[in-house]
Amino acid sequence: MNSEPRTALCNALSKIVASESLLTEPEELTPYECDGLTALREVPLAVVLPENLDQLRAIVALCNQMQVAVVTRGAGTGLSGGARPSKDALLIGLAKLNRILKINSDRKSITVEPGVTNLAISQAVSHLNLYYAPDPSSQIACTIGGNVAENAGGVHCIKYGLTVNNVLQVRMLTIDGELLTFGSESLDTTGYDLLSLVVGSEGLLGIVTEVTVRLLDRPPEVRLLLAAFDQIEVAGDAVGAILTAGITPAGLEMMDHRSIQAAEDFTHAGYPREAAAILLCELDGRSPESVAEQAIKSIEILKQCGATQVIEAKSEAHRNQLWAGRKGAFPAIGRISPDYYVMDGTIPRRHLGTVLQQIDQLSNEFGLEVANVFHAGDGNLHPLILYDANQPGELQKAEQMGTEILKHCIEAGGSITGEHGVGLEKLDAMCSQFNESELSLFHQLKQVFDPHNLLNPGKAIPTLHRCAELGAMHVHHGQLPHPELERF
Amino acid sequence: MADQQVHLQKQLLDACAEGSPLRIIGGNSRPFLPTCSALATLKLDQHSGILEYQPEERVITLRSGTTLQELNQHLQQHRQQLPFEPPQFSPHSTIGGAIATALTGPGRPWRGGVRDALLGVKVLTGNGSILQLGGSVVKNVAGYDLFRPMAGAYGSLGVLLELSIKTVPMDELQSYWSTTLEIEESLQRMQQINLNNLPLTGMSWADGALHVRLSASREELMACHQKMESLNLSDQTSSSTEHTFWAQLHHQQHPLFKRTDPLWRVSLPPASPLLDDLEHSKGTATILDWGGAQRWLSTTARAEQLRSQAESAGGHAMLYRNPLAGVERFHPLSTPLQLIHQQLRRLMDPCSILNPGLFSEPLYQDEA
Ligand SMILES: Cc1cc2nc3c(=O)[nH]c(=O)nc-3n(C[C@H](O)[C@H](O)[C@H](O)COP(=O)(O)OP(=O)(O)OC[C@H]3O[C@@H](n4cnc5c(N)ncnc54)[C@H](O)[C@@H]3O)c2cc1C
Repeated sequence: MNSEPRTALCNALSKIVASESLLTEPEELTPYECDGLTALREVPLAVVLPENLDQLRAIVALCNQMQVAVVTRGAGTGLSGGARPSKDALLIGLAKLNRILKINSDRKSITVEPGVTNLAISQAVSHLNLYYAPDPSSQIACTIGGNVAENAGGVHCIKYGLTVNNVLQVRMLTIDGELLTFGSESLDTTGYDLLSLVVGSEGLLGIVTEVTVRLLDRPPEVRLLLAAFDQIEVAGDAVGAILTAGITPAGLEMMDHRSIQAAEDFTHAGYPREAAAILLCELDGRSPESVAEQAIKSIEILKQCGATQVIEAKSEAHRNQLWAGRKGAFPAIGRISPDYYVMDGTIPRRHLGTVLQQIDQLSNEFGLEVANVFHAGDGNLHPLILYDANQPGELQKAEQMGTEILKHCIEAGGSITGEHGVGLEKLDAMCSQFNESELSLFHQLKQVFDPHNLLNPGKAIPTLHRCAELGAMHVHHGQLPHPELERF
Repeated sequence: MADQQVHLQKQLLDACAEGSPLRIIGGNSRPFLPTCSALATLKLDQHSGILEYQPEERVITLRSGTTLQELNQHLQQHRQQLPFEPPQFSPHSTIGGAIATALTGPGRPWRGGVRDALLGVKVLTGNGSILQLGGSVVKNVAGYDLFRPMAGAYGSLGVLLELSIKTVPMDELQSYWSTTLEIEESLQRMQQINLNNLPLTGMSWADGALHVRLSASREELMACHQKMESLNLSDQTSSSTEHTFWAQLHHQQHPLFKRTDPLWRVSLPPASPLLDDLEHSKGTATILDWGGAQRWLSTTARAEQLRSQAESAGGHAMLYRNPLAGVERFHPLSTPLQLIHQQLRRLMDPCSILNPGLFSEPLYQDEA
């Protein structure tokens, strides 16, 4: 955008918000130039930080009137570039919309503004012995608005579901200024379940302005097991064995040898350093009897599957210590490598062993090391590709390797993203997961909500042109869609 | 067990060319539910068969014409079940019909609904294209989740061809509890029980009694015993009447479902009080299910009264059975949502041939 319309926009914005809530100077804009995917950066047109709904509505009305694109930002912890700004778009940061609006203990629900952090929700109701279940590892920082936009997951999804399974109602502001309510506090609504469509829409359909989530009773009994394995494939098989036996752990996480080393050096969690892989298996429930029974069964299965050692956390402090290694794994890897690139593919659990082997092979081929720390119970892989951005070409190599990993995930019957979203990062990979008709449908759906393509344009859904150029159009049953059409 | 996809697609394309609407039917076991009046039908019952099921994945992929009976039996062999307990209206009830109507059993508040268990669909749209939306893994956030609204769309967003659904381990054991109670006191009692952190999978009031169902391991059920007794509930686990009650409630075979008065399904937020002069009014027969969040009212009360009260309480009311002339079956939508519905429908079914006329849709759309 050239300077004249930009000036007009900023002038108009300065009449809506206080001067400290409008950032226009280069040094003010720099902190906003990327989200958690730091490899992708661009300086925004300007940043505005509304303090209430009225201001937000006025800002959106202005953007619609001036046809200025909008990028919504929560806490900017996203890992797929979803909140990465664009030089032609206004970045609207929602961190100041952070009030708890209503706690309803009878209904076990809470209503909050979008900028409230994930952890703050559980903290607000901890005195009632309630909590909000989805717990992304970024929970101290990420916002509920961002969680809704990404359909965020976490360590406890395997038992308690993703964001979509825990959100009751969402208010969303559309680009033409309509404030829509999706869902309700009832267990269903009349008509189509549009709430589930809005969750995970990555800021492309509207701006989430209010969220009501359901709360759960804190399980009084929790136990944590750590099992060590001398082969990662064997650990993968143990995951399947536990689930087949009818046990649903509250969390079932895996770390490979490299992650164990890094985590041990960083947090001294007490992991067996020599292990090829460890599984952390958390069991919870209402009564000591039921949890004890699950623990006995799980230990037996883990041993039968070939665990070389099974440790049970002896106290809450010990449990927290064992979890600290897992939770600090990303920063721990950050200490052993100048840069790392987090991948997020999902696969059917039974293919864990095979796909981990394929990743190992790619690691050799590309000459880049990989550390695996992930939600094994959900089949949600997080290979961290280690690279050095200061070495010319390494970032590109890491990205290429990432794309190859995602292809293996799709081939195994999985998905290119389990919880981090597509954003800008996985646009190419989307071309492998969906065919032309499916992608066109997504574009048409966006038009229903945002006909002028002003909200987070260019993200989440690739253009058909891009996919055709990439030559990676989804091959359905060995046939290209519309073979009669020329490929460009 | 047969793949009818090509045949179904051809039937649809022919209907599309003629502009003649189709009524989609599976096992035709729920004809009392809202449907379109088209004479031509698209029959899914032959399009059946389980395509992929590995118990360790806790996911099953199958064709939509598979009967619930076959599906349940198959899962049982591996000690698993569907989390949402769809009612089975006859041996012919299909999984496609269960997903399209999104009806769930008594455990809904604690076990989740159809939308929560659905992972992906293969769908035949109104213009004959076949799309794969969602997938068959438990976590997948690529693309818009257009598959989830298929649960409860009554086929109006596309013909469901294949479904991937989450499964859960079978309940180890269940215990049943009850006490006699007036309807006026029932909701408060349910609320009290609900705050006791019990392994609830059912809590209903019907015919002057409160019924509670727990599902857990033997050890955990034993551990609940004392608490249940202190809540003045008596153990009915070995009572056949109680078993019958739960089976009838689950499959909507309770005598209330057979009355000829209009039957309303009212969905309300948990812990909502009784509506004014409705559930307990004279001549009305009521069941409170889902701990009070789903209420069945067989009543001649005025539709406007029911709907306005349900709406003020944060819920909605559907005319479930025994329709009334001039009364919409589904609770009307607000104008902006109605608009989105229409546009969404046009995306999935541009010539309006799949079960047209539901959700306040005008039967004959303007050419514009
Ligand atoms: C160390 C680390 C660990 C992580 N662990 C996990 C994990 O375990 N599980 C997981 O799922 N994710 C994880 N993430 C990713 C990230 O935290 C989540 O995606 C989170 O939901 C993003 O929230 P946010 O507030 O930071 O959103 P942002 O990054 O600011 O935005 C994310 C997307 O949401 C949109 N958006 C934000 N707010 C709104 C709104 N109010 N209305 C509409 N659109 C909006 C943005 O436009 C953007 O597309 C992790 C990230 C880090 C850095």
